[in-house]
Amino acid sequence: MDKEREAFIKENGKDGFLSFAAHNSAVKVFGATFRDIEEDALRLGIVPFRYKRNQSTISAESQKKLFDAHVAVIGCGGLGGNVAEMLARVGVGKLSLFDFDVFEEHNLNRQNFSTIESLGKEKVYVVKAALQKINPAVLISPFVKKFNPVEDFDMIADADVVVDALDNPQTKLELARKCKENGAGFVHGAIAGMTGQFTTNNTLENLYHEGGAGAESTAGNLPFTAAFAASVQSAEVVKIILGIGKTFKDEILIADLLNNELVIIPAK
Amino acid sequence: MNKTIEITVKLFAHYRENKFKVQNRTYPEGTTVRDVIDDTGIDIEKFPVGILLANGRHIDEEYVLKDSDVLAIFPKVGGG
Repeated sequence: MDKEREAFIKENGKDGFLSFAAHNSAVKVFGATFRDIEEDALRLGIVPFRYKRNQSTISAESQKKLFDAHVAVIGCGGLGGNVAEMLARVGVGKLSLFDFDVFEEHNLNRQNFSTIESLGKEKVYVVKAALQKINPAVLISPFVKKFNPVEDFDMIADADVVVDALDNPQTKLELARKCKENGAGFVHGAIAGMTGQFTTNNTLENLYHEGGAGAESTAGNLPFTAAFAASVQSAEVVKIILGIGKTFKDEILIADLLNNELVIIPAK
Repeated sequence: MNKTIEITVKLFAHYRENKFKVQNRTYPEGTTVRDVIDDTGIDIEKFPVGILLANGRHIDEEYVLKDSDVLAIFPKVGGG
């Protein structure tokens, strides 16, 4: 690390935190990127002030682990958009976003980055632009693409965790199988109406005996179910990256928000 | 006289609409999960079948039920 940069960050870091103003000053003084300065600060154990409320659940050391992590979010609709926002806010350093679609009117009920202005625009580009405004340290790679797990897995081969935010069981099954083959972390989520299901186990055959659509075709997808699902998935991602707590590695969570029933069953 | 079995059927999420949460039901021996699904009248066109458990273990529709089995039927959930 550049000695002058190091000295500047140390000098401007107060109580172990680097303010946004000091962070920006370092960018200007050293002609570095916002991301570079964040990396330097975290290496020195100095945490950007934006992450203050992550502590002490997430330590300075863990914050660096999140920065170094790469998460692939497959699907940027109700689940993926919310997951991407939470991961960018918590400080995951690298996000690859996949979605072939543009925002449409029927997305407005739940997809966090859909607005009147974004209708007709590719979701991944809209999400990238919004995330950069939230956290410019995150490296975001957007792909306008209908992700095919069998043909396209190489594109995410170096991801630490793959988030299944897809909207059809057949592709979900294929994504889980590829993650299992490649030993990638996998976080499944799916919703229908006021029900959500989750697992971090990479075998989905017990959830989907066949590939066709589920109850969502009739029951639709509600905003709080999508945000709830994204919260569960984001927590799983962070726990996997940091190696903390307990994940749904061997279990499936079924959350019925209509009847207020949470059921945990074995994954296999 | 044909022997019968008594089982407990639990329905989850969308399947409960106008149906039941849990019910004890009597069937002839040899009854499969598919037979029970048909008999309960749950609308599998609207809400296709997802997870199936007998006594907490994953099974499929061909599973032949035994006396005092607890069968849990969840709708398939696949939206994103």
